[in-house]
This record gives sequence, structure tokens and C-alpha cells, in this order.
Amino acid sequence: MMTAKQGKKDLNFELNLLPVFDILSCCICFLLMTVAWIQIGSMNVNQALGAKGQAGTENAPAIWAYLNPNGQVVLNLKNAKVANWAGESILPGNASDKSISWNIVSQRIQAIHNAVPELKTALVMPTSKSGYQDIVHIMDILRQTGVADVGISPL
Amino acid sequence: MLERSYLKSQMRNWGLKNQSTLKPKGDSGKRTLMFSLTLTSLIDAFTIIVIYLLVNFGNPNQNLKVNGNIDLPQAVKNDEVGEGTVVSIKDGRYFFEDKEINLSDVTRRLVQVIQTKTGDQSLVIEADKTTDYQALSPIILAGSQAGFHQFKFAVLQSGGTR
Repeated sequence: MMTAKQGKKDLNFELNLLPVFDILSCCICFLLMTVAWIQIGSMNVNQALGAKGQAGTENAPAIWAYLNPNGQVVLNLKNAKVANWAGESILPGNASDKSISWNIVSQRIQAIHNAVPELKTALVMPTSKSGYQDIVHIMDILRQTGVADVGISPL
Repeated sequence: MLERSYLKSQMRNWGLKNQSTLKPKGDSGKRTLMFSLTLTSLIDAFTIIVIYLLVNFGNPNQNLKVNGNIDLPQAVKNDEVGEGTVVSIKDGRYFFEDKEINLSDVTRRLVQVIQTKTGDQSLVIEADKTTDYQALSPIILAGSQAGFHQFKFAVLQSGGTR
């Protein structure tokens, strides 16, 4: 016959944490080995297909950026006017390695955007020898400035 | 009942209790060599690490697998890659969905994609940062001719420290 003391179960529950610890360690190892540390993004470009006619549409201000082979960048403002500026800036490249002087380009694009805040469209005009990094970089600068619609002209 | 609890045993074997300089409460100054590890806080930390890693495990929409020999350009302001037809350029050779094709076949293959798939199609272009635009432009032209209107240039996300 069972006495009252024998039938009384201990209510304290002790969880053995070591297996949980093992599982978590395995999870951490697996995730550390398989996680993608390099995040890939994309620079989206919408190209016009030419289906719509231009008649009747209002031409929005746009900036055309020509990438010349000697590191020179020519910025040409279309459909907008800025006081005391002819609408074209020729930005020289670095004389030493003929690369693009990105600080000058960035400052100039920012200044143009400040003068024309409604500027939302840009077209990048590379040459055949323009590097992909340079093309992406100027598109990146334009988008950082606030120019949302950036296009690229094929050769 | 509490005499046998885990908490009580932890308190009893707690190493710091003996080592208190102001009022040691241990077994009359006798220092125990037994080291009791409190696993609860360790498991808490591990759980936080696991959750952090699971959240940053990767973008489920990212379908782009970049080969080791392609060094993508970096960009600060970029978008999510998402779905799209991938065309890669490696050392002057063109790959359509990881299969090498001739440049003359690119347009035909892209037209097939446009005809078979419904909805808005985008073309993901993956190229090394040293690639000339001369090699890149035919893909843009072929995509435009096929009917793609959105082009996604694959880039590495940069933190703005360039």
C-alpha cells in the first residue's frame, strides 16, 4: 500500500539544458557556414520601348551624362534652365591616370539638382571603352542625388 | 521541497559567495574547486545569435548566383534583384542562365523568354566591373529588341565607404 509521502511527486522541474546548448551550437555553426555575407543588389534601369508617341507629352527636365574616354564627364541639362549657366558642364578627369574625378562629378550633379529640384530623369551616355564600374558609379551618384529615373544609352 | 531545487543547489555551489571579501558566506572560508557553469544566460545569448543569423540568412528573392571569377561593381543606392532572366558576361563570353551562348543567339533566346513567360519581365545583367561597355551594350540592345523594358545591373551592396 502506497503511503502519502511516497506518492507525493516533486514539483520542481529541472530542465537539462545541455542538449539545448548542443542544438543551438550546431545551428550557429550551420548558419555561420551557409549565410550569405555578400548582399547582391541591382541597379534598375527602365528603358523606353518607343511604343508611346512623344506628341502631346511635356518634356521633363533631364540631365545627360557623357562619359568620355579620357576621364572627362560632360553634363548636359535638357528642358530646364539655370541662371548664369549655359546648361553644359565639362568636368575634367584626373590628369595622372585619366580616371573620372568622382568628387567633382558628385558635387556638380548635386549643384544642378539643387538648382533644378524637379530633375528626376537622367541618361548616361557611355562610350565603347567606358568601364562597367564607372557606368554604375555615375548611375549611383545620380540616384543618391535624387534622380530616380536613370537610363542608359546603347552604343 | 526547495531544498532539492536546481536554484537552491546553484546558490549553494555558487563560487562567488565564498569569495566575497566583505562577508563571506561559504563553508567557513573554504574555497570550492567545483566550477558550476550557468548555462541559462549562455543559451539566451546563443538564441539571440541564432535568431540574428536566421534573419540575415539571405534574401529569399535573391536568385542570382555569382561565380567566383566575377567581381561585381559596388553601389550604395541599389534595389532588390528579384526575379528575372539572367545574362552573364565573363571574359568576353556570354552566358544565358548559366549556359554559354553566342552573342547572335542572345536576342532569339530573350524573345523566347518574353513569349513564354507572362507578366513584367526584367533582364538581370551580371558582369565584371572591368567589363567594357562595348561588351555590355549588345545585351541591352538585344533585351530592348526582345521587349524587355527593365534592366537590372547586378551590383554589390556597398555601405557608402568607397
